[in-house]
Amino acid sequence: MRTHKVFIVLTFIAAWEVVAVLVNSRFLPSPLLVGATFWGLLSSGALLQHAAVSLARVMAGFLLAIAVGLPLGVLMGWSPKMENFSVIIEMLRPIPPLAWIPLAMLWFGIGFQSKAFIIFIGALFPILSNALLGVRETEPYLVEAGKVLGASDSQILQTIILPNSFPSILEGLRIGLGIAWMCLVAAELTGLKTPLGLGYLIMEARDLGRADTVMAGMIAIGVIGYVMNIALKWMENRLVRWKP
Amino acid sequence: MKKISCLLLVILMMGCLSQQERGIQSIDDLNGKTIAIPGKATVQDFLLQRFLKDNNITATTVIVKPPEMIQTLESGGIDAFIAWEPYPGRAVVEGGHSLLVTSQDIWPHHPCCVVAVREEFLAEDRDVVLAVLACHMRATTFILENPQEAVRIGVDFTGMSEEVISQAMQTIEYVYEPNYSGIKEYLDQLLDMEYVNPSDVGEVDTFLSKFINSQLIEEAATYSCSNLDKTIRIGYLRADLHQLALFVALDQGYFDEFGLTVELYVFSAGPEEMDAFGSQDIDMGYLGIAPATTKRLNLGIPIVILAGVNNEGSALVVS
Repeated sequence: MRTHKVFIVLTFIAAWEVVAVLVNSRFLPSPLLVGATFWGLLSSGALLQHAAVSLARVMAGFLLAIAVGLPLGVLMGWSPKMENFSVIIEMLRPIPPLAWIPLAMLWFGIGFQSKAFIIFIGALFPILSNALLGVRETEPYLVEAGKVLGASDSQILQTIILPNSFPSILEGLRIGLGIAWMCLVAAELTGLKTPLGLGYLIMEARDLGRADTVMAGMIAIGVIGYVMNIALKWMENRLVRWKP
Repeated sequence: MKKISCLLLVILMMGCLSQQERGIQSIDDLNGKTIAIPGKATVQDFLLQRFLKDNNITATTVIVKPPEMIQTLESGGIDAFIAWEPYPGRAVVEGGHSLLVTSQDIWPHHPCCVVAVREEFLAEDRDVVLAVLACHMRATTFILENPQEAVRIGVDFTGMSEEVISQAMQTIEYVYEPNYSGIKEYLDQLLDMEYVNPSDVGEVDTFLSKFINSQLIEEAATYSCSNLDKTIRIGYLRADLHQLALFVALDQGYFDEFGLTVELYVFSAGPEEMDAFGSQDIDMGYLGIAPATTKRLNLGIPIVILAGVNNEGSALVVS
């Protein structure tokens, strides 16, 4: 299985190399050149610096989205009164996070907060919806059984509903993190107070007409996104092993 | 109680005073500050780096789109910005901000925007190129001879007030001759800044003799034709008052006289416009010489510089 994957990646790179040689244009740098640029950025420490700043922005927005989205989602799934608020959520949800960029810049300037805000908006809705869904999909007979046995509301929530909706919540976190990471790069493509971040690296390289650096930045984003996804999947598997 | 209120008042006043002290009043105050540019490898990036180097100042540069610069300055996100007119003019007239230096102070009569053409298009449609250049020359002369009327057209083009445009136009020199020695100076500094590679440039004069074509503008001076019946796709930068000649030519119907239909394409900064040249989405364009040179070399986008558009016309704004 693993050799298969390696083979596929190598074939992809080989095909890219062939196309790059055939096209022979600076618009499509070869994997060798991109690899060299990537290595140059990595060994100079610049890439790690950009990545660290980007990750900090993502984590701030993502954690905020968890802090707001999880309780809100659980509450909306739990209480029929709160569920009526979902109309607002449903109206806000289709707005692409990037459409918030002009407002984010007006409200929070070009610093850390505006980036975190965009990421927060991006990650909030999947986290909230999945928490809501998880709570709502808890089998009613489980809740009924709890009630019959004299459990209080908070006991039902803690011992029945939350564990039951855990897989769905984790799935929401995974999707949320993926979207957060995507939003970050776009948010960094606009104004920035600190000239760092993988999105910024790409934008700068674009202005200078360095397609190899653009691709090196894209690869860094891809690798980090891939690793984060694997980490969350691993966590999911460990935490909800009991769930079929 | 009185004592406490007095103490509070004193603290408040000291706070206000120290706030005022933090403002930028001299060039040296820029040390360690954050300054916004419209993009890497733009004329403004180039001018700022030259200015910082000449004055031995270290500052952080960040990229902010010109329409958002004033608002970002006011919200405290940046300490200063350098932009093309009319943004500095607008900052002065509407925001009460001040110009710390104009680009004239940094480099007197420096070239800025130019008219460029795709090499392939020039080979195929030389007549159209000549006609556009003729319109450009005529429009530039019009601006110099009818400044009042030019302000009106500038107001229409940028959507800014007459006061802003009048103030902004004072710092712009409208020209049409391509400035060979000025462009050479740009290239030398771009090499110094390591924005372009010496191996791509080769021998500087050989490169420039291909990159700049000064003959066509002379030919265009006497060019006449009334029924070209062609469409030309021209790129320009959003609300860049340097490029007023393009809008004067449209307003005065110069293109119509040659039987030309103009399709306009707007960009936020020169590097973006160069990408459109690369993808062959535009045939000719008004843009800064710095991004034109940088991307001509780094991406090998085949364009030729045919005319100047303006000298000077940028400024460093502080609040």
